[in-house]
Amino acid sequence: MLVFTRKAGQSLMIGDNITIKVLSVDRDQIRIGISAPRKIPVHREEVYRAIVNQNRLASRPMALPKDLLAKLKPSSGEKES
Amino acid sequence: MPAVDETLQTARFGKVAFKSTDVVGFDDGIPGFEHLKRFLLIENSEFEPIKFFQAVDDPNISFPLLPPQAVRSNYHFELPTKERRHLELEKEEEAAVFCMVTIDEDPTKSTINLFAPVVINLLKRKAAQVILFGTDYKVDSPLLNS
Repeated sequence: MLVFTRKAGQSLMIGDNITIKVLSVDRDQIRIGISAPRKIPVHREEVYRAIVNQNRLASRPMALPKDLLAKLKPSSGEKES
Repeated sequence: MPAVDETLQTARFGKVAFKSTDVVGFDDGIPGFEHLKRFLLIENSEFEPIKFFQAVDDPNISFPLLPPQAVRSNYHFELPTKERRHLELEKEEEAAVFCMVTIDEDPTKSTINLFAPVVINLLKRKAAQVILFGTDYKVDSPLLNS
């Protein structure tokens, strides 16, 4: 891993179109601004990983339990919006 | 663009016939499945009210979906401008929203991902899984007993 020391207001560049700027530092919290082309997605890592993990679980070829489907039908309950 | 009749052999639904114009494009892919860009929305009375996104390019991958209002009548979010532009959405009526469902053998342990809903532009056949930063929605809210 490349390691840099930066102060608030200073930036890093990745390639010629991604800029990562340290906006402010307050004890253990750092505000970071990222400028990147739209096609480069930027994510909070733990959030993105949680979604990846959930998507993988959702994609498992599980049979749909009949009692689950019955409970989801609007006519069976008061959940209709 | 003329519609071309195609068929697809799938693990869950067997042989599926579709038109090329039915395909929904996920230009950014789905997190964890970035290599899959083309999906079919499968609506089958056997599975109602659950629908599926079946990957066109991987017969084994399908995602169960529900309209979130089916289980949370007050579900609501503002689509971030960036996503609205990406999906080329001009009017709310052009959009459909589904949330992915994680099925468990025990129905009470089945969950719905309200934090990262799938938004589809029905006219342009473009879709994206949108991440709702700054909301209290979860990736694994209980499906039942809401």
